[in-house]
Amino acid sequence: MTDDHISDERTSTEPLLAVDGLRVHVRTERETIRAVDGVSFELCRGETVCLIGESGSGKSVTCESLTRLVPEPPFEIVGGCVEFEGRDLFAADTGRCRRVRGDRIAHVFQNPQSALDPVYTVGEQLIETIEIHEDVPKTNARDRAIGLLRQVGIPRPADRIDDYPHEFSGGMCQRVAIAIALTAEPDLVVADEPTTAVDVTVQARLIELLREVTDGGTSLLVVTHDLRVAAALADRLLVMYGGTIVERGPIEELFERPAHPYTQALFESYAGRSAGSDRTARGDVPADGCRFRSECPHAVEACSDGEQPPFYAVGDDSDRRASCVHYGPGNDPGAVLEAGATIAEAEGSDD
Amino acid sequence: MTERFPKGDAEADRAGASDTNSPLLEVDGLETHFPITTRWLRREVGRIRAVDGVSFAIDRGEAFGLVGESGSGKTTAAHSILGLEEPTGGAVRFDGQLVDELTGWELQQFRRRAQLVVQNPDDAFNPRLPVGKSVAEPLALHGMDDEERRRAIVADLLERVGLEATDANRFPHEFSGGEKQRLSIARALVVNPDLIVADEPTSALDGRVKADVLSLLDELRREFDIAVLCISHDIDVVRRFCDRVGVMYLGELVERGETEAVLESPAHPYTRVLIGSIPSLDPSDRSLVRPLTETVPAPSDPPSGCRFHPRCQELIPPTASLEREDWRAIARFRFALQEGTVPEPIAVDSGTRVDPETVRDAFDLPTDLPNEGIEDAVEAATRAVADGDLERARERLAESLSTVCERTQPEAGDECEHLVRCHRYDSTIEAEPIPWRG
Ligand code: SF4
Ligand code: SF4
Repeated sequence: MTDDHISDERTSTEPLLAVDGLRVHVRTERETIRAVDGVSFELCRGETVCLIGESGSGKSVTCESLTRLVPEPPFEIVGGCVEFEGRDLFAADTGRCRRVRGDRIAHVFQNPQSALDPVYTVGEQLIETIEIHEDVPKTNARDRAIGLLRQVGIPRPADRIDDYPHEFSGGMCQRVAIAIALTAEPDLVVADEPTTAVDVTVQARLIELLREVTDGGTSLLVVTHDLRVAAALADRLLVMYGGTIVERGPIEELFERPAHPYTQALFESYAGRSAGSDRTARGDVPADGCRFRSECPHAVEACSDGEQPPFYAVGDDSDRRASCVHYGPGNDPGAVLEAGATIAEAEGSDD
Repeated sequence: MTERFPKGDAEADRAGASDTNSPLLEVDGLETHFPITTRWLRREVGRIRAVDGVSFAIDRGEAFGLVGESGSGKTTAAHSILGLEEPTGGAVRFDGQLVDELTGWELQQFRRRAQLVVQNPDDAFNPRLPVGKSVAEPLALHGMDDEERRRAIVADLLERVGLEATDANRFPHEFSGGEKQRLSIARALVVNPDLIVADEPTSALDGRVKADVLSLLDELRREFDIAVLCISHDIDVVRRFCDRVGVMYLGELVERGETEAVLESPAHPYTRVLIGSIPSLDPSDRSLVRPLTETVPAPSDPPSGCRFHPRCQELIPPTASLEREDWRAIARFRFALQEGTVPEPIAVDSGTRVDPETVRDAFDLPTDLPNEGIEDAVEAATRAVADGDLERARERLAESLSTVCERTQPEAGDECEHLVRCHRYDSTIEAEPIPWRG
């Protein structure tokens, strides 16, 4: 869909992760769904990027495809490449991919239970992970496991290390899962809805914990449907809709004035009481042209041409891009931008 | 809507005669305790006080939100109101009548007039039945035998909730999560209820689908003048949807009032923690409020006095001479020891000895306190912790730092426009409310 994605990122430092034109299909008996349809982005060292979208936008599949965690089949990575520190993760033999996946890129999921085995104590699981990654004697591994538990804020870690996952609350389980993710001191943590299953007071602590992780220099890719979580964590935001990224930019500018009509619709769903939508319940995503056009209040004829529109710069802001024809050359995006500012203001006053 | 479930004659009578000023639902001191029994003799050894004296009323057509975190008892409260769980105390009145005294036809009417919408619509639909049949089920259950009429009502309702009449012939798996929730709303509406109890109605949904389902529910309740009791952990849902809100903590209702008043200027320290934990939509404001300590006590063994006291940032000091920040540090020290969370580098569990100074630093404990008794207690406790004797430290602090918050259960305070159960709003207690974000 776009060729200028590399140049439109900050290129001052070499990116840690570069995703280019990623395409993932899901084959079912009846049809083939283009779950991820040409996704490109970069992530720098120490940076926190949020991939935001609703269920079915393809955000989770994108993240799980980076390290080929998606089950193939039914998923199939049909195109694109993922580079980690300049090395092609897809071209590399699977052994190396696995090593990078385990050592350098760690995953944290919405449901920590999926990362923890109920029949082993958290200590056994942590120690096992430690021993996979480094050659250490058992007692040192245990000390290191206790240290990791303390680092992620488990009270009385030396007492708790021999407990089973079910003896921990949901929030504490997620901390343990983060501890396991941190054992190999990864360069990148990919967290998929890491705070969705917990209460807000627990979420607040997990957000602080994730901030600590990035303060230590680790990069973070957070997948979320929650604008608030994005606002709390991200340096940059990627907005995903219908398998593609439709808007990207630094968090503060983007929140101040969402540019893409889809992003605006997402913000609107947070605004005041009863957004009064008359959208039909069943919105199908078109297969060509702008994926959002059947729901877009700003749609024009050009929106159904060809593929998803390329990324155009939003205003004078060199870091911001929207995949919408109104930002294209010769068009005046004034009305669309204005709508974004109004929505952001309404949502802000409600906060 | 052309046709709905007909109201019974007796009911229409009563509606004419009944005092329309009385609320539709009145919950008075509701209490639902679960016994903890031994496995062998089933002897009761304790009680989980899931709901412990909750009161509120909902008017006809009003939306009332009950918020709280897991373990707060909000869902048990909702279930107790509907009779799905048997209350152990208090009274629930529907249209002025005690619900637990209803029998026969009246009980049936109550079951028709008060409908439940659950979080996960999958639980509400039989996967092998066309959804039209499931939506019509309550009609048949309440005695509508005419299948043609049932079909017509369902077709009508499906369109009203944003689906199509022909959808009645499709099966649950053919619908998205949002559509399924629309179906369960249709199913609740089909018997023409006066009250819908919506238990986390949008928790399984996100983004615009969630907003749409909420808007739909809002439209419908206004159109048909249905009261809604909305149980949610999601403050955004309550803010958008509810006229009034009650906040629950460990089985008790700690604050209750107009949504705007409670959410925009929360009075109770727990409500403040709840609201302050929600990340702002302004990315330049990344502050998050913290309670004094993290651990939520078990509802089987709630703290004495005010149940929130070991976590309360606004805990009332034993003497007015203490600076707020100093007192907070001391209280945090005390309750952190009580819950067993000791910060680095005092890893008491690993047996490492530290010196008292390290303990003071780790807890940011103030020195030169104006009150000698407290100064001594903190000093002694610091030494005890340094020696690894947490028990002695705990006792020493509990002895000298006793606060009214742990001794007396707070009543509704008279220094706030709406209900707040906190001593700071009680004019007979010598402690002033602290301004929100003050
Ligand atoms: S390209 Fe057209 S349909 Fe797509 S977001 Fe822009 S205006 Fe809307
Ligand atoms: S009564 Fe005391 S402990 Fe309870 S909320 Fe009020 S100030 Fe806090």
